[in-house]
Amino acid sequence: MKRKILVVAALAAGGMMAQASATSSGTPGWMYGLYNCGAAHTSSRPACTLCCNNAVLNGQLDAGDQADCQTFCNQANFSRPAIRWYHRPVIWVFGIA
Amino acid sequence: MKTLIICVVAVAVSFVGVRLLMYSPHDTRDTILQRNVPPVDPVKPATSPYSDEFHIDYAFAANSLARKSKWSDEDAAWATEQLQPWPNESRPDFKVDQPGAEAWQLYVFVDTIVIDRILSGFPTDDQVLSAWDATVRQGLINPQAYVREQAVASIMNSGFPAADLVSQIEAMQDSDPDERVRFMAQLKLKQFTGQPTDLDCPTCPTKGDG
Repeated sequence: MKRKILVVAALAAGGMMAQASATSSGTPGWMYGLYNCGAAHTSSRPACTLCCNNAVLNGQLDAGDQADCQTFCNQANFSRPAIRWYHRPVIWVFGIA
Repeated sequence: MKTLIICVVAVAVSFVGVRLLMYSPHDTRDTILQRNVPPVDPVKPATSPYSDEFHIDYAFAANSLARKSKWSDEDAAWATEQLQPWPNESRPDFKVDQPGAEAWQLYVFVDTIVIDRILSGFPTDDQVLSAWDATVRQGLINPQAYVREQAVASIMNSGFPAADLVSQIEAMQDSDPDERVRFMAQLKLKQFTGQPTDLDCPTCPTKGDG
């Protein structure tokens, strides 16, 4: 029983770490754009821009980082059905350090 | 020891699982902003550093302009007003304590809406298209790097860049004095010609200042 509780707690901790690594206010703007504005709930450039701005208004992103979040929105290729490089394990596991 | 190993594996599995869930495939789009993008509240939230007027304008752009397939004359006039060429002497900045921050914010947002309309084939008033064309042409030669970078991205992201502008951007990918502008030009030209891009961002500073 104790082991089960520990495993469940570990699973929860891992999930929270994954979320926190992508959404913490300390995340630089470009990474915030990558992990929060580019794929999670948007599929167009204006939606990405809106996401960057909302993050500043909600206090999730420092105003100084908004330019880099917007740079991500400008760089991403939204005209393609899926941004394949999002799925590169090397980027999304190690690129968040 | 066995429990410890199981816990470590569980953390790793959960981390990877959540990451995968965060990158689910994009939804099908119908307008510039999808239906599942919530409307912007025109009332200034307590955490906002911007003015009341800015919030009203921004909400209009997000809730009306970005969701209409057809714009009224008033919509087109308002968008045209936001798309004026950026003054050479004014440094664009998103930081609210900097002069022109709200204007730059609106400019960038309306710019992205207009280029997405062009890309998506929504009918767009000639007045707006002319204003956008004049603005990005001026933007390419603006002394401020962030304006040039935005202009390069805007032109190439519109999907149908004029040949003379593409030539200009081709020259900028090697000759622009600012590294992030050169990087944007190189990246967008690669995307335009269907070359694979890494989209790593070596020129993105860890702390933006523009």
